[in-house]
Amino acid sequence: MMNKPDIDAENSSLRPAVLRVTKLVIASALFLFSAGLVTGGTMAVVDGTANPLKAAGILSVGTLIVVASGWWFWKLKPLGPADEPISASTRRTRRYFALSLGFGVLLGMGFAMSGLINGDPASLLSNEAIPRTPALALSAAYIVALPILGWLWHRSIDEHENAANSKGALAGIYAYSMIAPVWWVGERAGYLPPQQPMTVFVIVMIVWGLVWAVSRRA
Amino acid sequence: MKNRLRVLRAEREWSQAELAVQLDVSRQAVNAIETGKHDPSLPLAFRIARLFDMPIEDIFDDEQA
Repeated sequence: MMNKPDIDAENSSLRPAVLRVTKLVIASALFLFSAGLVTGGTMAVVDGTANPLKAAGILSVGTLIVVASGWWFWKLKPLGPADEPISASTRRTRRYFALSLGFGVLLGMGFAMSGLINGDPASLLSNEAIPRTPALALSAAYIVALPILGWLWHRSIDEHENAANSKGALAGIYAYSMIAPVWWVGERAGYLPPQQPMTVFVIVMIVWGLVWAVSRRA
Repeated sequence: MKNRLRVLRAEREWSQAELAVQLDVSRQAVNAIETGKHDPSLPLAFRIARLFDMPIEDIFDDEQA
């Protein structure tokens, strides 16, 4: 065993950590930007509004940046300091987490594309109508994948992660228990706009995620 | 619950990450146990005791005994 008893989180220096976070932010921004580029380019091809040569160029470059930035992000090990040994269960957990993130990005891109068919450039953030077929396909993929990925992830996490996730889930349930009825009453009394299910969902997920992240941080 | 995990780890010159690999948990889990933020389950406490070849009560102190 190597002689490095001081390699604990609290002893790591600040400068490499800041550099690493900066790289992670750049890689994430590149990934999201290029994913948007590919989504828009694909829709332009589907609509037949794009110059084929220009669209092919945009799609090729966009796809290349998606793959390269995704690989760079993964190699930066966003869930833990680089060069630190990790246990087999932690490695499995990170793989399932990355798989879930990738699936989420694909679903988001599919959703954005289905909204673009109806001329809605921000369907992820609106309540406008979307075509039935892609909506059914995306909903079916979500319903099938969510419990499978969730089951795999829950099987791989350790007890500390499980406790942190449970705390987050409890906080999320409390957030939902407060927001949904109060908004419902407020809407009926006329001092709040109509309830938005996805807004409630996003708030609950943010509360869950924040409490989980703070609880697992050690 | 107090414990001697940090001392025992330091005696063997292991990092938290190296101990985590041997216990098949995350480094965050080891840190949480060492700082008293997380009390390990009985199965994990037994794994820790076996790894250090010591009785559980020599590693963990429930402060009420």
